[in-house]
Amino acid sequence: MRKPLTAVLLALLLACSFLPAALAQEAPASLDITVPEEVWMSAAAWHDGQMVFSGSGIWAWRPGEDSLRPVISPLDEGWDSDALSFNVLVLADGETLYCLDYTKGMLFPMTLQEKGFTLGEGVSLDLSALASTSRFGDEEHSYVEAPQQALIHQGQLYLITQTHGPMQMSWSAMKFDIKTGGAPQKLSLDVSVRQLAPYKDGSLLALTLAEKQETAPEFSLAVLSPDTDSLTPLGAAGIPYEYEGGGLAYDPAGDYIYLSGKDTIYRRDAQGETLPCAYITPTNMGSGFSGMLSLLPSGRLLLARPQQLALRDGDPAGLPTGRLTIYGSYIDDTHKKTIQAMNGIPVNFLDRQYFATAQQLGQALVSGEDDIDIFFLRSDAIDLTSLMKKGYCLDLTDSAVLMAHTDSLYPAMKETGMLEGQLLMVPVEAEGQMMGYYSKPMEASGLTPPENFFQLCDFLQQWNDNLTEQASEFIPLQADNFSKTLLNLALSLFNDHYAARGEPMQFNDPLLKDMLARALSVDTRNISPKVDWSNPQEASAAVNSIYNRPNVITSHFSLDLRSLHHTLNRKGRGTTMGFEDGSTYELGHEYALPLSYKEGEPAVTPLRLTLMAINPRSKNLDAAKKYAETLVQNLPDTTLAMINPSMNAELVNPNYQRDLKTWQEALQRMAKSVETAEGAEKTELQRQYDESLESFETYKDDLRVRVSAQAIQYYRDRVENSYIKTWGGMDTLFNDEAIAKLLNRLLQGQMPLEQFLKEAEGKMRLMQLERE
Amino acid sequence: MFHRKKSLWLFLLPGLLGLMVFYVVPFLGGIYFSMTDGTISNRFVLFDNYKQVWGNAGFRLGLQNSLVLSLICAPVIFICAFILAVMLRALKEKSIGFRNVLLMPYLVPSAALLIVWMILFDYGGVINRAIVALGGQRVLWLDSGALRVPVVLLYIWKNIGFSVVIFSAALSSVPDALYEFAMLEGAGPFQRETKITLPLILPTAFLVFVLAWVNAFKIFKEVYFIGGAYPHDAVYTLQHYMNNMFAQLNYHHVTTAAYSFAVIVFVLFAALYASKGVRGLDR
Repeated sequence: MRKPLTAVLLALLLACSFLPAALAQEAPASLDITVPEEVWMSAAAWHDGQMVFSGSGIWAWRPGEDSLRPVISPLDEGWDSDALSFNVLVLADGETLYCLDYTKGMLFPMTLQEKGFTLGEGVSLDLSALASTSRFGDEEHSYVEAPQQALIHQGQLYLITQTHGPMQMSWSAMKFDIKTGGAPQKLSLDVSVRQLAPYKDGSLLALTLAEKQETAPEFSLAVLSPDTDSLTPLGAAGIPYEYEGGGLAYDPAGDYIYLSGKDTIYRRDAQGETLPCAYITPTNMGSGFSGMLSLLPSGRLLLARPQQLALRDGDPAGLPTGRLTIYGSYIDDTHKKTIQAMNGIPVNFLDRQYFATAQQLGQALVSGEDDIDIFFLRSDAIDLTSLMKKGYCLDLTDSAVLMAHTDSLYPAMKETGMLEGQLLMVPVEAEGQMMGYYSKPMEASGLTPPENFFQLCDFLQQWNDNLTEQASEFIPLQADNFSKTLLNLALSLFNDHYAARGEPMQFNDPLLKDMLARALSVDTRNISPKVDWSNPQEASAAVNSIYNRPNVITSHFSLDLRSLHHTLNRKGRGTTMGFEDGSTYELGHEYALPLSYKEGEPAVTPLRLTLMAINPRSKNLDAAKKYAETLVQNLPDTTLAMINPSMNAELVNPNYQRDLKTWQEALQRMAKSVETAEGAEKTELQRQYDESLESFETYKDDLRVRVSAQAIQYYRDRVENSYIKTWGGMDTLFNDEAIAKLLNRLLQGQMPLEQFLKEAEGKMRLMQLERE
Repeated sequence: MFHRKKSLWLFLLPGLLGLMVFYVVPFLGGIYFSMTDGTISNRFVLFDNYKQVWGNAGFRLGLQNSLVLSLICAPVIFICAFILAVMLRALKEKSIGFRNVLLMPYLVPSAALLIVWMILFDYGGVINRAIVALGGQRVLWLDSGALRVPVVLLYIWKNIGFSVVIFSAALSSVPDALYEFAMLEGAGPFQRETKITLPLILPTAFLVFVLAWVNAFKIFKEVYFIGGAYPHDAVYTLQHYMNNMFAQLNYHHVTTAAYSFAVIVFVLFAALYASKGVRGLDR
């Protein structure tokens, strides 16, 4: 009996010895929590790794929770709005929380409860240094700038402020005694301090920035002595200059300094060596220099910044290998979700790089100079076919996820990314624009919206002949030069028709000749701007007066589903055009104006696609493929519905209740403001409130649905007669400078129409000869 | 000598090395590349590209136009430069200023010259005004097949100075005594130049012709600046084809077209060079 018992005990002992490791593995390597946009004003690390946020109220987070918990809203009964403004900063000093109302210049000790807080006795601070003014029209408004950082350390409140001067922004640091308050003591430092954090021996660690004219700005570290308010340099911070980021923390256990950048947290050891120790998801807030970096009791790093609360291990040895570099896209919610699913692999967006041609991009992909792993291209911007043919795109046919995604798309969209049965580029987004018109000016004109090119010419002719005086406040068509716009429109409508049928257009077509002849015959002298260029001042005024007039027919009716949803709803007053002088003009609702090239033919809609591909020379092929697969799974339904013809049901708003509540709260805040205001201010606030309430009543039901089935159906109807615009089609020729010159010759009467068509046909024939 | 003094090779090595690295190896590499499929995996396809390129009507049109342009430009430059050089010789020391003036367009970048040229040949430009004044019709010089005229004129004007300088140098080496003797014998100016000067400077004349011809074969930027990537088909040159192929990532076709051009030039000049006169052996 003894031996089996010993074996069982040994087995248990062994199992117990592995338990901590197993538990440790259960803790996620990295954790990202979305901080709602309305939350961010400040964050404070409190005891036991808790975080308190201020923004639209107070929010809190405890380790182990996967979202932020609302504690109190400014509209709740517990929020004493007489004592406290809506915008406050939260600060922590060990176990004590503080609340800084910088608008009113008050600092309160704060006791946080599960649902609310109580304030202790506040001290008054002289924050006149933060007062600023801004001009809106003729009125000057006073306001108080929020400090960039507030920190309580050894009974002193340190503020780092950034004030906007007439020419530049200036940074300064000041401190207050939190017991007595009163006037600040300005710190006379010869460098610009951007962040402060508690450091060893009661001192403060300062991140400073030397802005050298001749070189890029450089971060340095220094020790700020609270006794002498002097800085002792520690040396270069060793991190790149980035606008975003700026969190700073000190770990006394390891004598490490942690610094956060745009997408990386760095660790600087006692020897001054700085290494990346964690990667963070970049934000798309352009949040400036902000962020709160703190160490949890477990030794893990917690970074709080706009939109994001990130929990990371701060060990350079534990960093994931590899790094994905993306060209042609920028960080958005889809990418953020994708990055968060990539187990900490850093993702770099080449947002400052631009390759204008396939040749330039091809060179970059092959040379590996920019380490591009994944690239996004627009179908009409670059020669996709050549890139695919020449092997610059990895064959993704073996990915079941990507194939399933591509199979679900419109066949024409799918074909754009395929070559000889191989999936080389994955369509991820479609966009389209068409002509539109505004209802009120159209009704006022008494004219019928045109349906084809010839009717558009007639429309302009009638306007020119009969409406120039009567409707002088409008411009009938969005154009700098009516004749030129009509010529270009004739060419593109004619081309659209053939492109939708998959046939190349011919310039020597009698109908095209008729269209161009009609465009040239439209007399636009009365509606064309009369600008005397010999007098610059008068010319400038004349040009301004032209652009200050609303267009009846526009060229930017968007086929984006969200826009369609709003446009087709046609609720409320529609579009209001505002002018520099403060006046407004009601244009009514915008309607689509699908123009065909001739009577009896349907209008054709050109669509542009965005496609994703993987560089076959990528050093991170597996990660890149996983990223691509994750991304298509995270595409928002509003984007997917535009490329997937089977998604026809209305798209509901998952945050309907939250959005409704936010809107209602905003209205309540307005109502409160109206109650407390007096005189003229009260009248103005009441007017604003009434308008907002009307808007709420009109649109509150629309909040439930993001895209209606009607909008989706409208889009589907347009796609029925559409084609994907690709580089290398006729548009390449239209964009060629030589064709533009020919058009100008035609317009200026230097070239007869027959010769224009002959010369243009010759150019097109050359293109075709090359491609044979 | 090279057998006896092996150290000579050592002195030649840096130059030879440069020649190998920058000319011979890329030349041979280019031949290999012209036989690959142009994808990033560079699969060897032997002569497929040559078949495709020679079978392409765009290539053939470009080649034909380049050939026509060169056949117009090269003889004109050759003859005009020779006449100008002979005239300058008569001026003796006073010729330097004129020679420099003739050479100036060669030194000015084409883009700068083109602006002047486009103003001259524009629809409302000086040339068309002159034509109208003479009772003619305006011509669309820059946006039709007539572009060939300004291009040829520009090319000749720009490059003639260089040929004059080479001819002048060659003419200075012809002894005056030969002309004096010929004059005593009753030879006229035409006979003197054709029977004495030309045979004596034939190798230089050959060089001038070769340079003028090869350069004229490469006429491109003048047309490209005015007519873009797809000009009128009368001025669509071989380099337009190569440039457009480059933009479409068809590098293998660019290389193939370039080597095809090189072979044509090589064969033509080999045939010319076969003549003893141009090698100077008659001297």
